[in-house]
Amino acid sequence: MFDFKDLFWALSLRDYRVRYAQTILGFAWALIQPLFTLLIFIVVFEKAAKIETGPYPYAIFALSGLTVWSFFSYVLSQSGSSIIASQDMIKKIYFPRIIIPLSKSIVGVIDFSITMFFLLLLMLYYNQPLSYSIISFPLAIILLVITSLGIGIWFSALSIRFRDFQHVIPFVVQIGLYISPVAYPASLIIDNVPNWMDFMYYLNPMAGTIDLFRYSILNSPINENYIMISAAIALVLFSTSLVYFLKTEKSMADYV
Amino acid sequence: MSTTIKVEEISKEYFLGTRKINSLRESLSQTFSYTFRKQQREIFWALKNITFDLNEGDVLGIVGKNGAGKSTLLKILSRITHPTQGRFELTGRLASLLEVGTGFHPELTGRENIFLNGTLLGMKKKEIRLRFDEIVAFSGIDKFIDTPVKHYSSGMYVRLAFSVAAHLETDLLLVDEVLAVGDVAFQKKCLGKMKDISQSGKTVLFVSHNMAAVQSLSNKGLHLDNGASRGIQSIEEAVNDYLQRNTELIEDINKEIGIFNLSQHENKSYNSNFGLQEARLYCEGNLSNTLISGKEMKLEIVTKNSMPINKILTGFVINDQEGRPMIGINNKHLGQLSEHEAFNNGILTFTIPSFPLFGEGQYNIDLYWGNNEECFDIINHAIGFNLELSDIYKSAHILDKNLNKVVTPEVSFELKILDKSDR
Repeated sequence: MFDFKDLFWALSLRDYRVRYAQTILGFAWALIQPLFTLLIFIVVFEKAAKIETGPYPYAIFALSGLTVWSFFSYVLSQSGSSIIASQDMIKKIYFPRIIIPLSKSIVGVIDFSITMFFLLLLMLYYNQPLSYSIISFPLAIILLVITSLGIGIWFSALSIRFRDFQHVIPFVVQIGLYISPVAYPASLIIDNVPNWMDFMYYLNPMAGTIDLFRYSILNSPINENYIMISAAIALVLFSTSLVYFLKTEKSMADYV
Repeated sequence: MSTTIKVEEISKEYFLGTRKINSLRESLSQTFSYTFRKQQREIFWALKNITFDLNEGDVLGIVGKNGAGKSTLLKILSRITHPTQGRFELTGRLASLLEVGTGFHPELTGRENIFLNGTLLGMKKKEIRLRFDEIVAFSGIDKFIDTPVKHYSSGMYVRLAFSVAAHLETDLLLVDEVLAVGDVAFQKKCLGKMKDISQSGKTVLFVSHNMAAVQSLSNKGLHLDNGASRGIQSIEEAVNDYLQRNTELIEDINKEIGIFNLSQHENKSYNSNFGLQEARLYCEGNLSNTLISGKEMKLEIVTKNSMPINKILTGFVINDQEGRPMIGINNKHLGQLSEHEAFNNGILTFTIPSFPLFGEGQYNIDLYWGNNEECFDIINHAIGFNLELSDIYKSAHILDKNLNKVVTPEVSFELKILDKSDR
């Protein structure tokens, strides 16, 4: 595996170079998408639906969710379709196939950093201080990466045998946006369903991931138990995805 | 000499037909129907019980018809696919070259693609950096190295791709039919490079339909026939086995690049013994199936007549891919229709110093042979050639092939400044 470190970076570099090739706005696109979504969120959820986000300005609250969500949706859709997209390579060259979906996360990290930078500017503008909770930032990032890759790798391996799964990916991204606390606080759901159902909201690993990320930069309140549920689900998804992927790896060239 | 490749009774089966499950619905419905009717999948053995050993430094030429299992064998040894039965052992670092230019990305520059393709083929970044200049020099495209490869002509593209692959530093090398790239000069260069590699002490497995190349490069041979083999032979024995099995192919093997035998041509209007016999196509003086825009093109036509003739009229028409005639010239147009000494056999030569069509792709030539009164022989689509783009003005900027269909060799440009700006 270590032998293929150079290949991992070469594939990442390729995706990075190609991502905004021949666009006029280039990397501005990494910002435009979340910003326009943010604008719509402000109109719909803050102004029209009057969603309460406690002491945090809604723009900061929503953008922090969107920063995480953009990474998730990019990495999931890219890695999910990555094996089918690289079938020419798979049929002609041997290398550990897992490098293909894994390398998709690097471009996601670059886009993430750009939005993150803008988020920090916005916090500066609203005078929103960082607190000691920032030490959990790396944890939030790790959780985000394994969640996105875990689901992405599952899809990439499954879609070799069953092309149906390619059509499920956009669906997951769309539904996921509604059932994750991106545009609204999780408390909005938790407070409005029976108590015994609360934990179910966190069976969605992105729910815990977004909460943990918000906690790290805004010091917003979290429930550790719920985060643990999400983290456990994410770990299970990630590890099982690796096991399944490595199992199907042998026959990939015969099926794509 | 130590054994570097040990193959024991390798077999590989594939399923044929529409039974391959590709969607979830099919998979589910098959699970249910399985209990009712037995699955009727047709099995195809691509390889059957292949066994052989190779020592360090051996160069094995693998020959066989299309579909005989040659590529499957290389795919198994390079771990792309797994054998259904049997096992194999490899000692040393392996690189396999099943296709030239796998993983090349059109948006990336030549330089970036060298690194990407090199790492894909198993080189370390450091090794590539070390050999970078050599690779570029070999490909001969140094001027375009920082241009995205989507702007390359197809010839430049394969030249770069082969150059990367030719500079792999490994103990074992698997090569699948990659010599047929580029123009004649580059093919010679490739063959020379392959020869260097095979003499460098590496173990090489080499699949090709070019018997001359296989014989000159290899010391051992393996003949695959419908997935089965008699094992390792000398290369001469293997080639003989192959030729005996496929006698009809012998003629093809003698065929050289740029030489077209017309006597048996399917579109020939005259009987095979007379009329148009052979055509030879030259690019810049070399026999070639490829012409280059703006470079010299020469067409030689060998003819044979039953009666002596003394006033020939002969010509050719070049058609593009859609069959549209692009150039049509005969010796009458050239003002060269005149009485000459009577002859039976002759060679007619047309030379165009700067080939005027600009483009990329397949073209074909119709040939006409007769005298002033009658047509003796005519062959539509007699020969085909490949046209390549080139840098007409040596500016490192290739003309847009969608805007240019012809070569305009001498274009002048002048700038006259009418006012002077202070800035």
